Order: sequence, then structure tokens, then C-alpha cells
Amino acid sequence: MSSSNRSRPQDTYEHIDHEEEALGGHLSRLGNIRGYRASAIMTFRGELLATHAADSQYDLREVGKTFNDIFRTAHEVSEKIGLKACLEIVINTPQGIVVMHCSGVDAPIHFHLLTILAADGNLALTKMELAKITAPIMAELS
Amino acid sequence: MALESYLERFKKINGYKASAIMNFTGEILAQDSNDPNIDLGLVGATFNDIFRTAHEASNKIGLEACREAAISTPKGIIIMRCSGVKAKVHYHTIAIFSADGNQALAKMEMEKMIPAVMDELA
Repeated sequence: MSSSNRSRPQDTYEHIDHEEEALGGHLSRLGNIRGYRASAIMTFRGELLATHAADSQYDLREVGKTFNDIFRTAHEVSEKIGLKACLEIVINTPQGIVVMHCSGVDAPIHFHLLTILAADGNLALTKMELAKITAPIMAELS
Repeated sequence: MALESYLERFKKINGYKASAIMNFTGEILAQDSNDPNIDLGLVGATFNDIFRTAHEASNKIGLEACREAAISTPKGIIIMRCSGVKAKVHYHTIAIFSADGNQALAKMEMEKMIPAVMDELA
């Protein structure tokens, strides 16, 4: 076996680690936002691709799946009433804010971003950052 | 004051399409619409289901039941507001706006009308 073959990352799944690391890097941009708690990138079916947390109290696999289901139902319903599939849902609670953002159902890669903030977290900045990181994440996943 | 009169305040907000006050199970108590394509009975009940699922989900992760959900689409915004699961009357308000509608003002109006609507329903 030649040395170039031995160094191919697909034999060691290193490429997957690199991809997760790169995706996590995009999420780390959210880490500077006031009130930031946790975030995740998921396929539109709710499978986790990358996570980032400032607060380990959340089981992001479980939380992601649950809120992804809500988001997908909202996609279907908003389409049904002629408003097209939703791009974002913001859920406000007394203890925090959950933001789900969609890359677009017709985008080259349809994925979802989940972000959890404290109740007084900076929602406007979060929305802006989510919009900004969507394109580089899409490029990473393509 | 009739419940419908509380929905009047939304009419002045930029991008307004329709609104309704529902009990927490999704039954319409009062409604208003200037868009004939929106069937508030169906839309209200469907989004109420989403909202109730969000109540449960946010409770489950320790954030307490949600008070508000805003769903943005390329063609519009749907805002759902809860009076509070432990309030003396637990009701939901839904308002639908065009995509460029003034959702900040809509949210403020929803917040302001809660005590009066609650008194009306008590």
C-alpha cells in the first residue's frame, strides 16, 4: 500500500470529525450573544449534525427532536394556509427563548438550526447571526 | 365590551390580516379577518395544536410553558399568545400578518389586552 493511500481520511472517519468541528465552529459564533445557552444543527428530520452548549443542562438530542417536530408541523400548516413553509419559529417562555431557523425547504440543503437563549437573551442579534451562518453551513454540508 | 372589540386594535397595525381569541383548546371565542382566504376556524385550531405542543415541550426542558410563539414564513407571520397556563382564565390569541407586518406592535397589543380580555372571560 502506498503512503498516500494510508493517509486517506475516509479510512479513519477523520473527515466526519473535521466536518463536525467545522459545523461546531459556525455555532460558536452564537456563543458571544447575551443570554446564549445552547445551539444545534440538524437535518430537517431532526438528526443532530453538530451541537454547541454554554449550558450542559439540555439534552440537545431530545430537545432538538421535540422542537424539530413542532417546526415541521408549522412548515406543513403554514404551507396549507398559503403562507409557504415557515423559515423561523420563536417560542418565548418565562425562563427562555427557543429559536428554530430553516435553511429553506427548496434550498440545496434543507437543514434546521436550533438555539436556546435565556429569557432576556438578545433575540434580534441571534436572528441576524442565524441568517449569517446559514450560507457557510450550507456550503459545508454540500 | 364584546370580545370582538379587542381585536379591533390589530386592524390599525401594518400588515394585519386576521386575528382570533380562542380558549386554550382552540375553540374560537371571537374572530376578525380582512383576508377571505384565511379560514380562522381551521387555522386557529391547527396553530393552537402547535402552540400546545410547544407549551409541553418548553415545560419538559425546564423553561416553563411558553407564553408566545411567532412563526415567520416568506408570505406572513403568525403570532400566538397565551394568557398564562396558571392565569385565572387560560386563553390564546392568534394574529396573522403579512411578512412585512409590524410584529413588534402586534406583540405589544397582545400583551396589553390580556387583563381586559381575562376580566371579560372570567
